[in-house]
Amino acid sequence: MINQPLPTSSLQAYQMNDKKFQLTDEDLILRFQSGDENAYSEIVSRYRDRLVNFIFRFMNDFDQAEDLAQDTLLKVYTHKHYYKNIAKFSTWIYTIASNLAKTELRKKKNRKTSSLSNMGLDDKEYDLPAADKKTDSETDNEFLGKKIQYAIDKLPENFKTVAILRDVQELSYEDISNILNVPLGTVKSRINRARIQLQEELKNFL
Amino acid sequence: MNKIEFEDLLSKYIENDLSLADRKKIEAYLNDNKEARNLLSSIKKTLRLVNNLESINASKAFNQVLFHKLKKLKNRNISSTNHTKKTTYFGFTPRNGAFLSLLIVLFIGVSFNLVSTVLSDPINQNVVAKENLNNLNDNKLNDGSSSLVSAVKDSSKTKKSNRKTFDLKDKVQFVKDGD
Repeated sequence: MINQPLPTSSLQAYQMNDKKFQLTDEDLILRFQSGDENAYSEIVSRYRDRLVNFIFRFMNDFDQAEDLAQDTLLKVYTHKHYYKNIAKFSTWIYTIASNLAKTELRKKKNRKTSSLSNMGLDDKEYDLPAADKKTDSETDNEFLGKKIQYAIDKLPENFKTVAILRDVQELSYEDISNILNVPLGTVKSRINRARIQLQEELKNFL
Repeated sequence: MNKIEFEDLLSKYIENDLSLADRKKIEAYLNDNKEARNLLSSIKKTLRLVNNLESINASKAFNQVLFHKLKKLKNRNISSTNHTKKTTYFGFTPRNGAFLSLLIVLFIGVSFNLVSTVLSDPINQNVVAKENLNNLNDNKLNDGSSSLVSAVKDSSKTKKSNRKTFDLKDKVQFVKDGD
């Protein structure tokens, strides 16, 4: 199984057979567990963008988001037998991604603290403006997007996770509760608090 | 309803997740409170902004990098499985077996050396000689045991007679509990 060639585009493999194309995520992982590598490729194509988006909103770093999304999918590959069909596959994969992202964010914070403590008075970091020309509306959207991302970044970790999962990824409360392994009531209250905090950060731009 | 209660129910109100009674309470509070109305509209706008955030997609090279990482992982697994497929002797790999036998040989050698040095040490020889002498004396004493025993008894008598006896009857008084 391990030496089977992986198709570069899973869609090619699944578009040939309509029945296969309609498979749920749970069917795909079950197929993958029984040795179908095409199923894994399909999982990758279904989840890569969602994972990158989720992790990017969490980390605010595209390269790191891609790296962690790949690590998540690698974990799905290496730990495929850990998935049990009692839970939703999306819940499982988001749990892996969120744990990886949280760990990385904590490491990043520690590195930042240590690098700041080593920084001299003259060592400051500046964001240089992009060289390519953009229209005014594009620039405005980009600016607003950055402000929203900044507001998300400022949320405490618990609030940030639920806010991204609910308002960016649009997952259900039940799914979020399963992903984070916290009661439904806690999820709802965290989302409420996160929204109020976000509104406070963004009220000047509304 | 106060501000805290209102804020707690805000998300549920926005998502239409409230009971009819709670919804009526909130609407009544909103009618009376301009600040609450502003907060509600502000949160709705924030939500719209966050929902309309541009979705970040994976780069074109994502799959390529992922499958490259996967290939690397597989190769590592294959090499590690090849590496672990080694012949064993009595459950030990050759390296571990050799190390263990070396340890055993060293242990035997050191213990043998230790015993021989203990025996050849002049101090220890002296101790052994003393022990032999004591044994010899004991044997001699046993031979003339009757005379020796009587001599010992006599000496104990003389020791007892030399001892002073003190009469403490009138000198020592015991304190009674009642006193």
